[in-house]
Amino acid sequence: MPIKIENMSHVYMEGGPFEYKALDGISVEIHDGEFVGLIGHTGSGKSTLIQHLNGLLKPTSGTIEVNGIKIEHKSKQLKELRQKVGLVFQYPEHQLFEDTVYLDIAFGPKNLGCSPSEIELRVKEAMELVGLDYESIKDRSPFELSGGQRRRVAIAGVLAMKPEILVLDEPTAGLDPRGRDEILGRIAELHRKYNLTTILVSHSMEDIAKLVDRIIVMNKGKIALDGTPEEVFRHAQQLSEMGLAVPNIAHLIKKLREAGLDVPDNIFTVERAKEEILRVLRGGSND
Amino acid sequence: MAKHINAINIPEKGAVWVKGIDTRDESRVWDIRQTAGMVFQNPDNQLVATIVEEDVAFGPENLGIPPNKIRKRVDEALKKVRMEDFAESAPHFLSGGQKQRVAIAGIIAMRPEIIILDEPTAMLDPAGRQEVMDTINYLNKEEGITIIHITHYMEEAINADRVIVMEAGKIVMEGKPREIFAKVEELKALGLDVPQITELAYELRKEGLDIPADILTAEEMVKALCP
Repeated sequence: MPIKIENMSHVYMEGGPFEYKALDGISVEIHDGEFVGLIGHTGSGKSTLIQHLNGLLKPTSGTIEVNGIKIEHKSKQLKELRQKVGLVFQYPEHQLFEDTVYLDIAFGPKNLGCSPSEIELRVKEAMELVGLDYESIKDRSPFELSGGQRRRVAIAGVLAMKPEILVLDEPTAGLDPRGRDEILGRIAELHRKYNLTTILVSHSMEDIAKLVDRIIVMNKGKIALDGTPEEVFRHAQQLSEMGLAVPNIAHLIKKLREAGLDVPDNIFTVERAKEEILRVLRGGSND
Repeated sequence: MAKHINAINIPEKGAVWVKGIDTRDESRVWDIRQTAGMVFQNPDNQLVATIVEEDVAFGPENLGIPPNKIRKRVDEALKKVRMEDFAESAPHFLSGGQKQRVAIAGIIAMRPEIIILDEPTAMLDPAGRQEVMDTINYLNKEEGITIIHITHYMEEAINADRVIVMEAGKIVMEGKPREIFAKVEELKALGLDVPQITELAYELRKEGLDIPADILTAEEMVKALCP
């Protein structure tokens, strides 16, 4: 069980005039190898939640347990946790700072005390995982790469720490469709190949619909919905009241059903919509 | 290209004219920036004051508008982006969509004829994106302001009058959204998307279904499939 959260709350500036309860008694479990999408409007508590996963924040009350390490309000041993949970922030390329791609990716493993040969191995592996050619890119400055490449360098820096859990906060924001597809493709492959427990925070319902096994919806510091994409996207009305949306295709399917086309209501990707529309239309003409 | 329109960048070769003013004419830089306002991706980098209405007043103040007229411009601008109830709020308590609308109000208060928006919704949640899109549509349709909207979300380009596709520093396509998005293969080859509904129409046509190639919205798809 990599992540177990019990009745966890987080209050910012507790006792002060601007006291703000960002998380309100959350309980949730995330299992080994799961691919979870975390959605919610701005200010719903998503970022506060993920910052607990690697100990950047500690619960005000309640507990969180990550791969056997239990964190409470007073916990101090967080180093091991930060190694286990790789957190990729929004616009992670803004955190690149070294002269070369190699040195930037090597920064994490170096701090972990890895030997030079181990560091080299990890940098090579991490670059391969995100689809950057080691020989041609390692000595370049991160700042002369494209936006999508820079972001992959930043993600490689996290992967070089060999995390057991990967958390990504809006990894595709601001990328063009090609850059987006590259990053999402790599994330999906990492999850598939290594059974890496992955948590993806995104505002793009289309990206979420394509990738994850499970969606957790946050609203006002609580978990509002938790289930498979099919289950969650069925609550179109509730999602829209929370400032969210269903994928465009789910919206189309709803309208098609209202117009009398007998397609199932659990479709939210172009591929599935195509299959089902063809099935219904062809089935109809064969009768 | 967008940064050439309000003279942040100046062409090395060729020229850009904004409302008849050559952007190479340094003495007219402020006239150009007043004519063509720009909104950027990150709302947090654009707001400078600690109170919403002071932020909106920043532009007109720099233009040297008299205080009583600034008041009027600020009130009008906030009304146009439907943020008048937040005039005295602190920007950091607003949502992303609200902050972006305040940034737009700050531009409107300078009474531009053109607004250039560089991925204004990239950092927003779905509700915030919708708020900003509604505001952009209102400014264009009701206020007659020329809008240039740079976006990676193809769905946001559906309601434009014209789509311009850029690749490697050149314009490679230009036309009505319906004409552009029907060219699914060409766009994909450029590393771009089409709206998901258009992609579905393309896939269904490949399977031999007789529906139009230029479907853009769910409503049009329903009409094509359930006549």
